[in-house]
Amino acid sequence: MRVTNRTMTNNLLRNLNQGKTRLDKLNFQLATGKTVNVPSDNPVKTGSILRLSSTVRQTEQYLRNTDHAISWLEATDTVLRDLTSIIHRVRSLAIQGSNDTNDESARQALADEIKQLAYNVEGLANSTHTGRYLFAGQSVGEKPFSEKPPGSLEFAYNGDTNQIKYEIGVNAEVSVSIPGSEIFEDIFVAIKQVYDEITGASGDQKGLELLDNALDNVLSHQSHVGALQNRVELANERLKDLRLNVIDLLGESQNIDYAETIMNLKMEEFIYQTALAVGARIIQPSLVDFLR
Amino acid sequence: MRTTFSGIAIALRALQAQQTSLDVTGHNVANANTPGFSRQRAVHKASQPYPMPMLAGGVSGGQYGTGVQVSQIMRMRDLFVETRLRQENPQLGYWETMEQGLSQVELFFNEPSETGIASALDQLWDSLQDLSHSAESESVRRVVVQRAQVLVEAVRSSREQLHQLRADLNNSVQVRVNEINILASQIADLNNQISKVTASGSSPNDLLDQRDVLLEQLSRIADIEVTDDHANMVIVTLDGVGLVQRSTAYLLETRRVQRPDLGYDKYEIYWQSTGSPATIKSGELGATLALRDDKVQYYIDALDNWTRDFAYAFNERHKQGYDLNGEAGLDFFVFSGPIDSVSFAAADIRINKAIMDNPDKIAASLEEPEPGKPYTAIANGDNAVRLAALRHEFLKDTDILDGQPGDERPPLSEQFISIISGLGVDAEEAVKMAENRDVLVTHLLNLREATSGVSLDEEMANMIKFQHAYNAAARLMTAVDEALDVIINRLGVVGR
Repeated sequence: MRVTNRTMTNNLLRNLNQGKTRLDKLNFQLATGKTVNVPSDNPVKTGSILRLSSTVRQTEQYLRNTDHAISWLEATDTVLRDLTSIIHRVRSLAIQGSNDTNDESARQALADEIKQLAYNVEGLANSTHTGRYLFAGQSVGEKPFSEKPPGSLEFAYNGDTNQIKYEIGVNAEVSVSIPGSEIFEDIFVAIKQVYDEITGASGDQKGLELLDNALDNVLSHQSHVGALQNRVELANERLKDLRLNVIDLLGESQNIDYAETIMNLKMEEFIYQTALAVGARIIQPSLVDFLR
Repeated sequence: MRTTFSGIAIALRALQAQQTSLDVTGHNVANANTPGFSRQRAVHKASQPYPMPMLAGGVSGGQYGTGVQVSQIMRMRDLFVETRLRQENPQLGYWETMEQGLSQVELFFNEPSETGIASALDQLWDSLQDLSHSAESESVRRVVVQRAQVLVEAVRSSREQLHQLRADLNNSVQVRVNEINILASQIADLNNQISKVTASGSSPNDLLDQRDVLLEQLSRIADIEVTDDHANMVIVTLDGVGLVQRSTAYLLETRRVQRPDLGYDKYEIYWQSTGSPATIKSGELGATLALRDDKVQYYIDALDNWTRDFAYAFNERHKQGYDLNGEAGLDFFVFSGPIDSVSFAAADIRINKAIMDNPDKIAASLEEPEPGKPYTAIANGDNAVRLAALRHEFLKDTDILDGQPGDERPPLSEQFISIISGLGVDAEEAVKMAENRDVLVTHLLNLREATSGVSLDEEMANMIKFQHAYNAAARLMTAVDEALDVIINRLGVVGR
């Protein structure tokens, strides 16, 4: 084939341009750290990158949900533990009070302490976690228990019987809250009964039995909360693993291999510079330079 | 019998022929970088010989040469390559324009990125998850509204940019048609000049080159067909209709057609003379039309449909819930008209102003209010869960506009991803096709250059060759001169 000066110039320009295009692409990949910067870089990978990034976000959201659920359950667990010790205290006071050897002032002292403990229980029943009432069902803005009328030791429940729920996976919900009515109503009734028995307002002797039933109820809720904590923590661990796996997969589809890309860049730089050097040599001379 | 002065005549012809060749060489060198220039060559031919007159006749000793003459100045061209180039050029123009257009569409969708629609959508789902377990929180509600706003803005901005791209393409239809008209007129004009020069018996090499350049430019823009006519003229047809015939150009025109259904006024192409529509399938103009009416339009429609489907499913679920005051949910996303008749959903979508102003109106709850009682189930986030589930759930008939029982569609994000993957495939095809065509056309250009291009080395070698021949002819002239000098001045001087 006949090769003219213009063929060589054109080819050189074209090669230089192609070299520059490849350099630019590699530079862009190195600057962003990503192999796929527009969908046409790799349509198939684009789809999986979008899907995987969405999965990472979703998993992180579920992780946050489990964190919230765990802290809610921990708060509940603390309240229940305090509650058990109060009930134990009430119980021992009740046993002391049932002893006929107590005189009036001793009975009064016992009754006063029980009354205070009842208010302690009210305090626990109205516990909040991040500004929300723990035991109000979904009426988290309503103070769940209040004494009506004041001084009567009778507490009315203002919450509802719904539960606070967290999604900890696709279609996996966990109900973390215990409506106050399920725990505290019995305790208040039992404490009131014990109080009445000590002050002599009631002649029945069922206070201790009520107290024991209430304690059993609290303990069973406590173990339920413990079981829930386990379940959510397991889910949390599993989600962390999943997150790492998905991030790995995402990295495989989207991140560049720095060693490889830099090596390719060096190669392209070398090729480009060689093309420039060759260009400088072939464009220059023609027969003109050698004619007298 | 040769004449006394025939030697001078031969030397003169030789001088003239070599000089012509030197001039042609000069012309070639001068035009070495002229686009479209084909190198020329003065074709030397032995001039008409004399028969040798003989006393006896019959037995001829051979003809008696009279030297050289330049028979024609030839334009070096490979017709096959030229034709191939004109066939491939529209394809290259088409795919290059297509590549540019689609890469802009890719830019406007801005995927995969942290700021595109897919990511904004993910963040909306996340905020709804937060809402599901903190439904009473004012700040979480504000975040939901703000995330929805980010999504709406991302959708509207992509839609606006696509709309702008389509408008630009529409304008460039007009520009391209003007270019075709100008080129066609110039070609017709050159046809006229060429036919006149040809009729006078010479070859209008440089005019032919100029016309080829114009034809090449024209073939980038549209898929023209070029056929040879008499007197070196060409006939150019476009879409089977004559664009240039002899010295007449039949021009195109654009008419502005109102298309409220598409949301813009579109330029349609017609033949000025007949008023019938012109169809251009390839070349830059063909790609501009295909982008405007097909590709970009498709992505605009896809975004509009997706936005409408998204808003419908979201609204339907939202309306089934109750807000912080126990009131039934409103439409979360609104358009300037009812959703089943909205035309340009992605350009039109907004967040309901009532919800924007008061995020309490987000219907996160599924707990039915009891009549006459204040609503207390403020932490109920069951409807937020249902809304967030749109992230991964297949859409059921109740989520689909005009859905029939049993209807099912892929999740919204999956639908969006398939639009983006489709765009990737389209753009990748355009990139590859443009590359392939470029390689092919470059190869053809090199082939053309091999025949028609000016090689300076070759011209210099020819220059030396002609220079030496010229010198030799001049020497011949001197020799004949000296011989004549002997005859005229020195013969017959005996006894002087």
